[in-house]
Amino acid sequence: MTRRQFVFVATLMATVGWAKASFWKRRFEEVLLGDPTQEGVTMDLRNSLNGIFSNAEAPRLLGERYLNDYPDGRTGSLALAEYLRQTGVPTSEGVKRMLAQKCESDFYRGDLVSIDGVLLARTEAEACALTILL
Amino acid sequence: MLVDFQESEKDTVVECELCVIGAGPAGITIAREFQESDVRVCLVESGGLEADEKTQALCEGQNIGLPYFPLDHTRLRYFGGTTNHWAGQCAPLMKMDFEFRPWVPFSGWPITKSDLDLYYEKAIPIAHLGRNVFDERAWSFFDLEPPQFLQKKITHHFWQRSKNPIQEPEVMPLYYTPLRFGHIYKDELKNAENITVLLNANVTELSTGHKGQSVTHLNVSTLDGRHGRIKAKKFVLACGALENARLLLISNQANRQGIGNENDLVGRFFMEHPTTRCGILVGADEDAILEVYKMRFSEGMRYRPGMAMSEDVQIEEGCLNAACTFDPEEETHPGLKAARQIFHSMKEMKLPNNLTGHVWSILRDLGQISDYAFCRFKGNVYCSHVMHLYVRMEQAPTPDSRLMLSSERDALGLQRVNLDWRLKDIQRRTAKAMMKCLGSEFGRLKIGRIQLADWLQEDRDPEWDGSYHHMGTTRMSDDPKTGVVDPDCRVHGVHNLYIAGSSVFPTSGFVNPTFTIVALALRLADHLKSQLS
Repeated sequence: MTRRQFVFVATLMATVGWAKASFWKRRFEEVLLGDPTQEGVTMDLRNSLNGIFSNAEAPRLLGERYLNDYPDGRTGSLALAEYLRQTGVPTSEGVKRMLAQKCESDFYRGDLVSIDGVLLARTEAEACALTILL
Repeated sequence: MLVDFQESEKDTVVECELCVIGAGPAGITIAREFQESDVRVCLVESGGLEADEKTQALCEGQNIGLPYFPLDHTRLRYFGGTTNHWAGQCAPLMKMDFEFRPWVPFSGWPITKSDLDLYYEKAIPIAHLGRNVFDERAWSFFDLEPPQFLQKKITHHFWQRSKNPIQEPEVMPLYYTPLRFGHIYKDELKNAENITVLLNANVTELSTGHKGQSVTHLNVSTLDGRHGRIKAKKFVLACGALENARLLLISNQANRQGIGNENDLVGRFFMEHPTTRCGILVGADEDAILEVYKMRFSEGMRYRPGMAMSEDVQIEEGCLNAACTFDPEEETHPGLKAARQIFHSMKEMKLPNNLTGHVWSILRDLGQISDYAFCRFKGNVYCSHVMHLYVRMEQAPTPDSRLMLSSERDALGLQRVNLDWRLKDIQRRTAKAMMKCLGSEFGRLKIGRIQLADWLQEDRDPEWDGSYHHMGTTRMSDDPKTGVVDPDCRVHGVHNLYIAGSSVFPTSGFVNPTFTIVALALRLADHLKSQLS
């Protein structure tokens, strides 16, 4: 092997190794620390949810009651967050629209929950719970 | 003609072909159907032309079941019967009300709605109603857009109020007086040559032959001690669901259990229309809602819309037929109350008592007062109102809900009744299903949200109210083992005794009973005509 060939192969291997290491490092970060872009959406989702409630205290209280009264409320609420993330609509308006559609579907199907006797669409209660969970 | 039995000879015997006992809506309707016929009719009425305390006291009885109204308040015992104080609300039963529903034990009539449709049509002018429309089609009479509920959940239903063609301005100048059967049809019956209206004649017994297979005559008495007899070919009991059963039970000479009671059914299956507040509407535009659901006029007739649970929901949820109306109630905030008292006193140019207290109440309640003032400023009427959701439903028939003879006796020496009104859990389940249906539809249509009443949240029984509607105590059935009268309203086993009125209803629907009482009376009159001709 000439000196020129050695330098070429070494450079190639180093490049491939670096690329591979970078790839796995990225996957590692994603799995253990979360996807930085998805994290951005979570931050936005929290802000967006806060943006659609005119009063911060009421949804917190409703959310607390919902999580307290309905044992599966946490799972359902996190599933709602996942659904909103997947739709990629981080603005308050977008989230509001998506929630309104889901609420309408809940009302249509009669999927209601009772919080302090008030009959709400399940999505309404889950959205309130997300103000605590996110 | 009208005859006061108190002025008759001693031991009078009246003879006729058809004797109708009770001059309420059923009795009067049957008697009118025989005007200008060859059939001599005697219409026997316990009271006179006006209310009388002593006669009314004959209706007294005791409630031994759920809390209920005093029994002498719920019906009236003089010419015209209980239509003398009814609200005039009329609507036909629905198709499903007549059907057997596996989830409602003892449900099902031996006749269908189509058997009654013709008679409902004929009952319209008798009850002085408008067009024969009681469902969604009635919206077309009014220039407004109702909420577009999913038909598989909620349907709109209309009551009509019978209108009295002769208004009684001296009684209620600004009120739409319902039809009073006695008032409207008195002259017709008075002038009918073949009809005798016997007033102040109390039937004390239906006397049967030895085997109890036919009624031979009635024994009648006045409160001042005159007695007499009425003989007829056919007899019709039309005294209301409590008195019909009472008279059958009292008439126990041939059979200790009373007439038509071989299977211990007389007096059982007593039904009311249980009603109660089930929740409130929150976050809604009260004025807009009440604009749609208020009582309204079309062609001079009064209509009231309500929201009924669909057949689909009744089947899915296994519940009863029910309807909901809005019942706005003004909230009594102390500040508002105080402000009103000051306002009314000042209109009379004087200062109210406890002025300082009122001013203090206003100062402590300034938030509510300013909200109220702003709401009124915007032109709304129902400010500071709570919108209660008032549900009325059918009662599930049960033999445990019943009336029995008591050991107490009335002024004529007849046993009074004890009423043991009972309800099943399905009533509460029905209220819950109704609220869920309305909650989902109000949410979907962005009308508002429902807050359930405490009793529904806590899953306990409410304080049920009745509606002054007595039904079911001589129910109709093909089989004598499950009913007192047959589909022709004839008492099983007694060939010449018939029963008219809501006591024959096997189930009650949620609508007021009088319209169906009149329709069934017309049907019975047709049957009697064929029998007597």
